Amino acid sequence: MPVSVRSLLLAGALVTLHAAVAPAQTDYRNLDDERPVRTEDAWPIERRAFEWMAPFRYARHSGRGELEFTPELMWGAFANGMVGAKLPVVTNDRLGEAALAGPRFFALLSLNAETRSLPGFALRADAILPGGDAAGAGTLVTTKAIATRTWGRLRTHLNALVTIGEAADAPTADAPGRWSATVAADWSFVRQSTLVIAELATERPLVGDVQQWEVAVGLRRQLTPSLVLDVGMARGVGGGAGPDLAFTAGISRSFSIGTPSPRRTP
Amino acid sequence: MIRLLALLLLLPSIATAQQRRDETHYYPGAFNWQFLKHHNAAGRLFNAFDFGHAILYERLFTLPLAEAKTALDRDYDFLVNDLLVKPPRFAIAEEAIEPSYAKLAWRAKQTFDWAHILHRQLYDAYADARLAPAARDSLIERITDNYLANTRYALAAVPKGMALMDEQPFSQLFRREVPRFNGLIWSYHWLQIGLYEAFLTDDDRANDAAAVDRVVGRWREMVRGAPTAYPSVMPMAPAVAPRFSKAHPRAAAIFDNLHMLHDIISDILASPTIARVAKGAEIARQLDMMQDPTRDLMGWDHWWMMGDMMGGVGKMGGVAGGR
Repeated sequence: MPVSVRSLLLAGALVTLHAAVAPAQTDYRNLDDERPVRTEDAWPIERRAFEWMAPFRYARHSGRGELEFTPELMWGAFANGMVGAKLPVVTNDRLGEAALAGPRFFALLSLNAETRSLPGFALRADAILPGGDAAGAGTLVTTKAIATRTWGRLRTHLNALVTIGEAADAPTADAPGRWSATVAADWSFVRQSTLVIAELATERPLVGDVQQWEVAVGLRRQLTPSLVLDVGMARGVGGGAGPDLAFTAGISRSFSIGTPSPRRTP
Repeated sequence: MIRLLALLLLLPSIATAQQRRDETHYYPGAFNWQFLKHHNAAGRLFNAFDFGHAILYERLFTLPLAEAKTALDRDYDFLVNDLLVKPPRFAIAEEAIEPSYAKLAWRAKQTFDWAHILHRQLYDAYADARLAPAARDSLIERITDNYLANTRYALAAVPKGMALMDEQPFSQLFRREVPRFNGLIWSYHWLQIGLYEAFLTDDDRANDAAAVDRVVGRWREMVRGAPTAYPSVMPMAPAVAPRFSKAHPRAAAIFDNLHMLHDIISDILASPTIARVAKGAEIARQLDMMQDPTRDLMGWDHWWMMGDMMGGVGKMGGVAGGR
């Protein structure tokens, strides 16, 4: 389904402007996948919270540019877990027509709080559905294991992802690898509510067998009690199929809707 | 595939055997963040207070008491000369400051966080000038209901007996060994309950900003006059904030229990008679007691007399509020 780039940019701007006026919660340390690097931490958003993200990513591959806008909504639907949906829309750097790369739905379950002997673990599953000119013909399912260890202001993370499905069902943009793994470390400047992160990622593509390596750095900063800005940069290394250079920037807003039904205690 | 499915089916039972993070979003509403918006300097102070509590527990848990005292002397100077002078804009990530303590006692950390959210939301309700007094009071009760509905982390909404804080084998060690830092913590607690009183002295909302400034000013005088100007006994809500305690006794009792729990955990962490490996279990045992609304209680009448019984409200820092 073709989408005009003007609509795409307008949608992003509206989401951002709307996000700038609503209250919610501090979460610059809650890493989301691709925000601003691939690695995410093992913590879901809070139960009953919603988070709405409006990220852009621009990447150049072999001299060709690609712009991607992936609005995403997450919901802390149950204790220690969340569900979400995202809809990547891609276009080239000549800003012609954009195409949907298939809606995605996911769930993440945090298994434990960190202890002195155990890192925090989480499991995540995504379904990538057909739908859109840049989507695949069938459904792909990815499963991911996530580990996070806190050392103070320093945290380390490990993500490992496996995709179940046929290469023919892969979207032409923002496709997952057959498998991928990332290791990342972040550092929090607690007084400034700012986090910096560095990451090394490797991926075996669904199509082809050239192992891809990528390094990335990023930053997340709390702008208001509810609003987080993230920016990041990635570069392929080792001559694989990674991007020559990629930039990303996004804004996320957490909020809650409705009124819970508290039990009145006598 | 069958193995994978079996693993997925087993996951919930594996997970339930572990302590979970259990983070819950706060009660929604447009009143949220009004205190930070209208009383920014006071709102930011609480971010610095969180840092003070966090660094205290990390030091006490990770260092022998003698070394902890030295480290806390340095931390005290940093707090009063730097962080409390220019507090962070937003809540600090306590896990980054107290990683060892958070791993030891996640449930206690969450209990504090949940009660601190209650504190913050009540300031927000008071600071929201769009709310008429009756609507505001009703909102505060709903927020308190919401707090109590999270039974895993809610403290009892009835006054707990002082013996829990003062008469256990480990009791009062921290305040004896590290009196200056303890005085700073008690001054935090005075301000945390005293600020409510600033909003209740009269009905003219135009006076709120000046009243908040006055209460914060009195707290700053305590810090400047340390250690003698600090409270010498734990500030309690009915003495320091009588109007607030009368209007919302459940919330006031929760905050007194919260502040008692802070002291109890400081003592457990500081105590050389509780083995390091046993501290987590002891903290969990104390949490069970502090959350139980049916035992170890002090009567409401007794609670109202605490100011006099402890030697006068002056020892707690004095009644807050006033024009």
